[in-house]
Amino acid sequence: MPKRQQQPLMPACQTGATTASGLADLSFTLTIAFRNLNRNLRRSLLTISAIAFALICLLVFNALKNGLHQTMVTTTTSTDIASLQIHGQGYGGNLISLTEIPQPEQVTTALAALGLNTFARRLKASALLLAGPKSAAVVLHGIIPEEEGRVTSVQRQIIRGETARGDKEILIGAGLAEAFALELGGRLTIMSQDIFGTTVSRAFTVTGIYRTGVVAFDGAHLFLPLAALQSFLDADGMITEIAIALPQANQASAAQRLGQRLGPNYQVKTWQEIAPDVTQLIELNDTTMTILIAIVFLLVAMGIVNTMTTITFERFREFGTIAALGATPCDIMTLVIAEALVLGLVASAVGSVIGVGCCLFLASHGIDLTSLTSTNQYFTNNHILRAVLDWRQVALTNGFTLLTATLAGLPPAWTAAHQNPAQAISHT
Amino acid sequence: MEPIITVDNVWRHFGHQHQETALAGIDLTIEPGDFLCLAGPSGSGKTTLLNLMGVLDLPSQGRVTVCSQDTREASPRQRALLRRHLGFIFQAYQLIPVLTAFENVEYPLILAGKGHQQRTKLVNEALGLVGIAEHANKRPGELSGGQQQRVAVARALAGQPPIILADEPTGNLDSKASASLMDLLQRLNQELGITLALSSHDPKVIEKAKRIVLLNDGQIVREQTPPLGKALHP
Repeated sequence: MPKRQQQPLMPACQTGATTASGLADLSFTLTIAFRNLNRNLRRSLLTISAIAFALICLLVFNALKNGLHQTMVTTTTSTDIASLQIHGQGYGGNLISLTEIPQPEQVTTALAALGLNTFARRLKASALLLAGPKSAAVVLHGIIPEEEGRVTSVQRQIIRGETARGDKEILIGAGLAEAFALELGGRLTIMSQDIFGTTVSRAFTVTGIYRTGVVAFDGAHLFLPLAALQSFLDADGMITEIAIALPQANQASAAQRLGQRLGPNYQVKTWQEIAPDVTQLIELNDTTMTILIAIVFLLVAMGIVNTMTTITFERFREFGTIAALGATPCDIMTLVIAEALVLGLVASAVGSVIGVGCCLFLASHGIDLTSLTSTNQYFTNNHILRAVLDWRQVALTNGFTLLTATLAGLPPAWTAAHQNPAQAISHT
Repeated sequence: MEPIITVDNVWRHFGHQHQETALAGIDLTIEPGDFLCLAGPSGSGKTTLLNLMGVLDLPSQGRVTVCSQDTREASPRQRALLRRHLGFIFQAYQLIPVLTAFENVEYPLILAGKGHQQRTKLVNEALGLVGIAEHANKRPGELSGGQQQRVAVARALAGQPPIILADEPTGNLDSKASASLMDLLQRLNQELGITLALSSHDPKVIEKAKRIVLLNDGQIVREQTPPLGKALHP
């Protein structure tokens, strides 16, 4: 062993020469974290499985919720309401009295100017349907079939016959047809009040039967040509509603621009304002899901805290040694949090792959809820629940998983970092 | 030359109401180049005193000065930085089981913020010095007790600290490995001028030291130089 006279191996104390490394070499820290998780592979895998399972559940539940909401919105807007509706000022949201849209030509001109070309003019009125010994309160829709077909789906959901085009022809829902035992060519009488309040009635022939799947709608809505209803109600040229179809993203701004352009004699409302029950149900679902997510993340956090606390407790001596080697409390905290983060990262990767796979499968195959749900549908037109994957939600859920893992690693990291090194080294 | 460690009227109490006194008024100075051995029976306070000198613990009363820094006045972070000037060897080796011998030696250098090339050079030098270079890529579990303790010595040496503190370094070794390790430590002190402070109750270890400080019931009973004589019998 050569003697080092010129350059002694052991220099004198040079406290100024040593500086804090801050966060010790990150790759080394991550290497230690990975290897430490491999030390008790079964425990690590169990923790990772629990986190990944929670992530899968959240991704799938969220995607199914998205699918349900999308179906609800599509059903709501495509059956009757559409994206936006224009009414005359004073329209109260019901059909107690007819509220005319003044100068409908100016409205259609304004729509064309704003590039809103997918619209349908309507005259709606309440009426009484009489057929044989039975009667029912119904809503009459006076429509132009070609316009209506571009905005809503009823014209495409005729299961028998065809839409009504003549003065005394009518299209009825499957629910009504069954309730009144009406077939194609069957006759029924409609009784209503004309715009002057005079009771009027007319016999119509059933030319078609539609089925939207929304039981409440199919049992109460009848369609006939706009001109026929105007004639029936002595309301020549009257329009009470213009429904507009738009992509979801453009609705709010279009409603605002349209409202500004049309002025105070008109009401412009989005489907959310027209169908607040659907909006509220969606909000309720979202809130419930948020609470569920919070609970799941809390459980995930508890799982990680439990694992990391056990790991920390088992390695008290090791942390004492690391402290003896010169690790600052920050270095030790980084080491423990890195392990928690690695747990979260692996679980996120596994959970995302499986979760996204499940979502894609459920997006194409769906879940048939026929045997589980009531046949009396109100908000949706089918029993097949399909997942709709939102990549922002996937990213957000993964972000929260990693954040939860990091935060859950903090308490054991703090404990490991702030112990007395001498006591830790002698810990048994 | 300024002392590396000064222990000035140090007391250390343990227990709920400080009812146990581990050290009672210790005064000690360690100069550069010393090879000091704290001797004494179990429970005499050897490990407690080494822990205080190694900034692993703080005195209840009195002052421990390491590299001119009063340990009680230092923050936890400053104490950690101070420990980077010290090399530690423990009875149970205390190697990190998931790291190879090379990585174990490298770890304190990483904590000290040394660059990759410098680390590699220092680690290889230290492993070569303790004669364990061929086992650099083995993990502690693949090494014998004697080999593990040599890795621990290399870890203590690699950062070129002014002093190495060793708590019962041969306590877990058989007589052959124990003698080999003590020969190594003695050569490090004699040939490289490395300051050593160790604790032991093994006469074969104690007789290698230049200074023997005999402790009993937390007090220094006497200090002497070898030959050992009746040093272990206060």
